[in-house]
Amino acid sequence: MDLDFLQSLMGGEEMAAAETAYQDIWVVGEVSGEGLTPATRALLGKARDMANALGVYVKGVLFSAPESAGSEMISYGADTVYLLEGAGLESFAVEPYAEALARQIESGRPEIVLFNATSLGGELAPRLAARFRAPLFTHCMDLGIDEAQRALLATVPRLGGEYYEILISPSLRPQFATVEPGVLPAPFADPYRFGSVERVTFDDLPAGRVEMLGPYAGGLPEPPLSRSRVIVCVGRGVQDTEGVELARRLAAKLGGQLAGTRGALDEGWISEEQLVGMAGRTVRPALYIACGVAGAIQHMLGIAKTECLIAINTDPKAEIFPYADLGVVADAKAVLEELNKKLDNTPA
Amino acid sequence: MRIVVAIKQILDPEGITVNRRRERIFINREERIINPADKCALEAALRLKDAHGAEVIALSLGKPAADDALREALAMGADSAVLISDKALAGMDAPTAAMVLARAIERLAPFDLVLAGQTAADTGGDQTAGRLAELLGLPQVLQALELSLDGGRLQVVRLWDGKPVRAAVSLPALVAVSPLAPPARYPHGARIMNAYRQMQVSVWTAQDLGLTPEELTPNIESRGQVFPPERELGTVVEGPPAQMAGEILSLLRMRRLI
Ligand SMILES: Cc1cc2nc3c(=O)[nH]c(=O)nc-3n(C[C@H](O)[C@H](O)[C@H](O)COP(=O)(O)OP(=O)(O)OC[C@H]3O[C@@H](n4cnc5c(N)ncnc54)[C@H](O)[C@@H]3O)c2cc1C
Ligand SMILES: Nc1ncnc2c1ncn2[C@@H]1O[C@H](COP(=O)(O)O)[C@@H](O)[C@H]1O
Repeated sequence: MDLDFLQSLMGGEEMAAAETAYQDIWVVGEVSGEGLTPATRALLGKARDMANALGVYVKGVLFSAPESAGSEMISYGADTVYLLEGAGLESFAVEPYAEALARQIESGRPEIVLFNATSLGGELAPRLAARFRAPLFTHCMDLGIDEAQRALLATVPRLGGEYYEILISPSLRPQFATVEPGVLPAPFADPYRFGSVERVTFDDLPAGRVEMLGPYAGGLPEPPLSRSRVIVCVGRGVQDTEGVELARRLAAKLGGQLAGTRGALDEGWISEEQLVGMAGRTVRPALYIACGVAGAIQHMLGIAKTECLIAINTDPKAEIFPYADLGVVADAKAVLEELNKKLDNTPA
Repeated sequence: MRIVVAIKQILDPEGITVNRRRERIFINREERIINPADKCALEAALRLKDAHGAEVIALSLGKPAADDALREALAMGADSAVLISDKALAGMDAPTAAMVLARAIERLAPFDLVLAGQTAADTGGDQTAGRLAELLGLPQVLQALELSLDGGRLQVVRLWDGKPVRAAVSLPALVAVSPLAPPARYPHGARIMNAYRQMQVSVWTAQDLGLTPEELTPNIESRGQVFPPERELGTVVEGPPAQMAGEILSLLRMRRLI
């Protein structure tokens, strides 16, 4: 049958474009324990909103996951879920994983592929982006769509999150992004949503050349204080070495390090390397817990770039309180003791 | 063993302040430094060199000023240095930069190990290493803290979602070193003089690498900056220790710090 007239009616170019066009939003998800990780759920919710704006489908991708995880993806917004499996995909290995995903992308031609900015996403997204000569926006704090250009708008952190830049790649497809876990709102599940879960089996994936050998039990070199993510700081107000020990234990539990003020140094509780402030280290942790610290300007200068500052001090007029995200008027030792106790009782 | 280390020169973030209220970025002190993670990568290379002997080649893509970063690498103990610098390469985006670096690394073949930093502290790109591995057809180990050579295999302690795990890979391979890895040694005074007086930094242009203008056309645009709101004044609470500990933990949970 001669369809030329139809083609000219519909615009030949558009039809040709439709054949090769990249469309749909894919979410490469992760499963832990019982089901999808919270970050994966949130990513599906975001993908759903963007897909509605573009008028396309959301497709989920999981590696060696149970059918139930596929159904869960549908309840959070996916229309189709691909469960990739086969020799090499049983547990994470970057080369077979990347190869399977690349083949799936080649045949499915998504316009956007989203990952969580976890280790899995961090391993796969750059490799896939390089393979497709495509843009990759990493650690996104938000995502949007420029509807006129039909392109992803990615809000990425600069200078470690002091400000953000909005990036767009108008012409390259697919577009890849990793989204920082915990920044997107949790979506609602709709257990009655309809969709399909498809198993895709690969039988000729390359063997991974990297061997994952399990947890590392040995000691690790302490990172310098200036790069520590969590710091528990003692000032003269922790009273004695017992207070310092409680602070050290809390730091260890939070995966952080102990530091101190000049007051603490003078008491002999900390070493020169652990002094924070004008005469000591400048730090920029995500969390700084100041215990019995007055908040002298010389000390505060060293912690100006702390993201979350918690101060415990018995003096409600302590200088440190106006800087703190949370000020606690209480005895530092007693609160440290309670914190250690509560953290012991919560399962990791 | 030949090790190529990719080193990016960046503006020292400590010299930059972001005024959120005025939505402006001020450069108070224009000091260029080696990206912190890259210094850790260089240190990892030098430790392998100390233990097993190796030729360490420092590679940077940037403005002519990046010569300083490479001299510092030479002073620390790198054996040679290559700077890819060309006006045609200004304003490159991340995919292009990785492609150019990969082209240069291919030109440095044969090599056993390519080291990069996990992430650049200015752009926070966190993708060049993985891109390089793919473009060079190498296996990759990211977020590395410790490297050691055991027979022909590289043993790596790396972070996986924040927890240390062990991995092993045969060479050649690409390893991205975490900024949390052991920090770099200080160069010896005499080596610093030497690095400037006697050692050479080779300079390669876009043409040397056979790069065409089409390959270098940027495809990523900025639509401007967003500034997070000024930090709000916090709250001060008072009460019995157990309750106060509860307040602290709930804030930590809310901010996803635990
Ligand atoms: C040139 C110069 C450079 C300096 N550089 C530095 C520097 O780099 N770093 C630095 O830290 N200091 C520096 N200082 C010193 C600084 O001025 C302060 O003296 C010092 O930081 C105070 O230490 P502190 O908070 O531990 O002690 P204090 O000032 O003695 O404060 C103790 C605090 O603990 C509180 N407290 C008491 N009992 C309790 C309790 N049971 N529970 C909870 N809280 C309690 C008190 O209310 C008080 O606020 C510098 C000073 C100068 C002049
Ligand atoms: N211009 C560059 N010159 C040399 N190495 C670079 C350059 N850009 C990135 N790299 C390397 O890639 C790593 C990660 O960079 P990024 O992906 O931008 O965060 C850096 O730590 C460097 O090792």
